Amino acid sequence: MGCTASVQVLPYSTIKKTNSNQQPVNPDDNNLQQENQQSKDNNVNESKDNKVTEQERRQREQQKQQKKTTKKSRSSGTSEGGIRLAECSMSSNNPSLPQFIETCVEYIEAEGMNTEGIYRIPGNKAQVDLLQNKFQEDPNLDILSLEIQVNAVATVLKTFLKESEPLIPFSLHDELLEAAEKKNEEGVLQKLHPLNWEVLKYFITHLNRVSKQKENHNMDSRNLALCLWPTIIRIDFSSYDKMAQGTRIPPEIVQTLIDQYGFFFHGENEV
Amino acid sequence: METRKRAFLKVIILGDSGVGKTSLMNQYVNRRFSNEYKATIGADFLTRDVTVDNKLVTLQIWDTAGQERFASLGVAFYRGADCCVLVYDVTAPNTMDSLDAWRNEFLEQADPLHHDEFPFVVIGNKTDIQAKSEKNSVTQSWCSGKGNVSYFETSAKNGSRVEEAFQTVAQKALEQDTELTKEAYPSPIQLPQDNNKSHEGCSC
Repeated sequence: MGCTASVQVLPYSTIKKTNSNQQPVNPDDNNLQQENQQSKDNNVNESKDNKVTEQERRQREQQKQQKKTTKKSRSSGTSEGGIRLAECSMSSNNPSLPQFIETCVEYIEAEGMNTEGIYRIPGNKAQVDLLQNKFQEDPNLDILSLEIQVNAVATVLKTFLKESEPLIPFSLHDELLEAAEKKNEEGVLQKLHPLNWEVLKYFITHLNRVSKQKENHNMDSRNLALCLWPTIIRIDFSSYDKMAQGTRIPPEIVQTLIDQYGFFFHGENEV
Repeated sequence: METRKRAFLKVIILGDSGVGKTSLMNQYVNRRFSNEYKATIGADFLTRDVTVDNKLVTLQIWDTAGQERFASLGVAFYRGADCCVLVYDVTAPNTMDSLDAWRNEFLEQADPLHHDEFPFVVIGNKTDIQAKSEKNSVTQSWCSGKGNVSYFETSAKNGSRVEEAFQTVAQKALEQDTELTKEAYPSPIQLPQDNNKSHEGCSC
């Protein structure tokens, strides 16, 4: 038996986020609203105060707070916490690769290369839940036996990568964005923990293979990068303005990684 | 004389990836359809002026990337919306199942004053691929069970019913906007005309 330890991944609910360097979304922090919109909001609040009794209001606040907490605990991409890659049971082919990731990737390459919008179109929720539960029992499982759509497998993989420790730690984000301006991402990638580097290499190499079959599924490296950059470079935007400014470079970085995977991860020349 | 400023209405389009949110917006605003398969980067908006009840209003239509890519930004996106459009793909039943989740997501994040009365418009898109003589009964009953929800089946590709769908969106958005304004300013306070007031001398 290659994998005895159960994979401590998934499902969303069991994952505890531990760190607190997360910036809460501050609704006042955005300048998105037009002036009249803002005044409308104020007015809404005023009339709310008039209409709803104090008790109702408090109840609602509480519910909202609860919702926020649950949401945060399952929301993705904003915490350095989550499952540590090193804690996953590893593939027998590659001791630096979680078995779960290999199982998903192999299935997607076998079954998903003619699926339009692979990694873009989300999987059926029920199938995603089922697969997550099954993976908890056995990271080596035979997905084919479950009759699950390949989109659901892609969604499960994406979800895992968004909720585990980030492949590229937050501490390297600024450096990576700066390096990208100078077309010098390589140096930053060298600073990754070897395990993260291995997993990133495996995943990006896979995405390159996917992109080569774009005629079959419409997902060229650009589309893959657009759909997957928030999974790979998990920037936490605290406001709309920050997002509007910050969404140009990261997809370009991911697209470059996919297109130049040989250069970045396999010691080949840039093409 | 037009005393009120022209209404500026904010509309949000939500739905699973690949159902045609961007294409619908482009068809409505630019009357164009592109066969290019292109994921949406984040969120962007287009505006179009439209006449509702003889009033010229400006619709600001927000297109969003599907699949919760920017879940944490919900509040900023959704706040102040006057109508929410939920899109699914009539050829992918899966995407219809997500309507509930998108509606809940919107209500939770935008937190409008009256959840049950907030206007939604559901659009089943891609009828050019799978045209049926009758509208989807499952979707119809979902809509009628949710209060203020209208339902259209459209094709962003050939433009079928896109105009009608967004006309309803504009109508509902304007009603919502008017309703909010009314609630915010219940009735004007009438100041009595004080004719007796002396304007002579200072009041000290």
